[in-house]
Amino acid sequence: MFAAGRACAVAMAALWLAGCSSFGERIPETLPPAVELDETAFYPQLKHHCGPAALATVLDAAGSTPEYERIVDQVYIPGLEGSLQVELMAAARGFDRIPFRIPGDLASVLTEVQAGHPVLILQNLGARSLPAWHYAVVIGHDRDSNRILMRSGTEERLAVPVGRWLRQWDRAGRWAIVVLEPGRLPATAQRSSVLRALADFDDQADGKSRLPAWQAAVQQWPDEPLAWMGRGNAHHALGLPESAADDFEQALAIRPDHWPARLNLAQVLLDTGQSCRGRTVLSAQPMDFDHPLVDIHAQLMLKLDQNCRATAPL
Amino acid sequence: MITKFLCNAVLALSLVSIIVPAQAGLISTGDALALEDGSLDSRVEAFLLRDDVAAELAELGISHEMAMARVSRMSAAELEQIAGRIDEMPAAGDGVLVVLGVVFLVLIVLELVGVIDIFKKR
Repeated sequence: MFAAGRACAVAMAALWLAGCSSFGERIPETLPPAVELDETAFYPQLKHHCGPAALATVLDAAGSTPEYERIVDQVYIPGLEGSLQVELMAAARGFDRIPFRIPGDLASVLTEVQAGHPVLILQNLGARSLPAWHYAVVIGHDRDSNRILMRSGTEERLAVPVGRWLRQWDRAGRWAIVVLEPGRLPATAQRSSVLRALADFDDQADGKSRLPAWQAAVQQWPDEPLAWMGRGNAHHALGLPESAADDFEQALAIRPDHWPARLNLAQVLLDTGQSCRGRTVLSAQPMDFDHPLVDIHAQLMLKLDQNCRATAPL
Repeated sequence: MITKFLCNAVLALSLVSIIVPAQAGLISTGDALALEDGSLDSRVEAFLLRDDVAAELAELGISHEMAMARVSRMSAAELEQIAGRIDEMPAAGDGVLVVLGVVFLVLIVLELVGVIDIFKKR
């Protein structure tokens, strides 16, 4: 452990000696002078395990504390002696937490930290042509010393000058994620990336976790049809078709040509014995003949029509 | 109206449904997003990559069962991103050692060329 720490120090010194100093960046004035999430857990990295250690750190901060070995099983690749970005995100979902990619600028990273969300980043401690990839977790900054604070490798509190930190992050494509409990959204939330993250979560998670996630999206963007549709799907998964139908109707009130919401509403009405109403819902809006969902539309319409005719008085 | 209707019905029966449902009967939010940006077909294709990616992971020392579990949590975009090029992606493990190796090499070269003199016997 000590050797790794010393190796790190030598590497840092080498980079400094190499003359690639001063990016000239400073911590944005809009942020407080100093922030430190000092209660963030520290998982010292074992050999090659910066991926599992960094993921364990952000999962812990989001209230999920699986056994460390289970995290290793989900993200470590023996043949590469490392972990992939994609797998860190996929594994976070497996532990019932939502990974969000955040914008690649210093202000966004520090804004998340200020909001209480430690930020998992990829760094390249080597050169562009000879990369040395490393995951670390940003937990704060200090404007006086112009440093970024991290849990990194075997260092519980590593303070790196902003310029060097930016170079190492820049060389790794400025990749940064926050991992949050369902129901919380990133402080730097951009609508499209949040919707994407929640939709990806939907493919994995059960209704109980999906509901608070979409509830948060509905609150943040009440004019977003997909948010209402997501909440409707979650209600449906929880066996609450009436609430689901209300949500789909909200989505349609915002955008009548939101076909996924309309088809889901019709499906829920079919399931709850309201086929005639479902048929009206589907007929209310003409669908283009070459629409990608035309076959689902046709199947559903057929069933609704049959059921409605069978139940309705002549 | 009726003919169009029948036509659609026939079409529906003849086509295997291309949608990956999140749960029985409902269209998922992932499909809805893909529909909006016109990537519904590639989303479906991406999910077919799961077996390939799992096989690649298995080759890198992960049990087949665990590899399948790992790929099942990846999104369509994530599968597309890594399929066929897992070993080209940044796999961060212990970046420091590589740097150390480079530093050592540089020092040796400098020593040999005579710019520095740090490995001198005393």
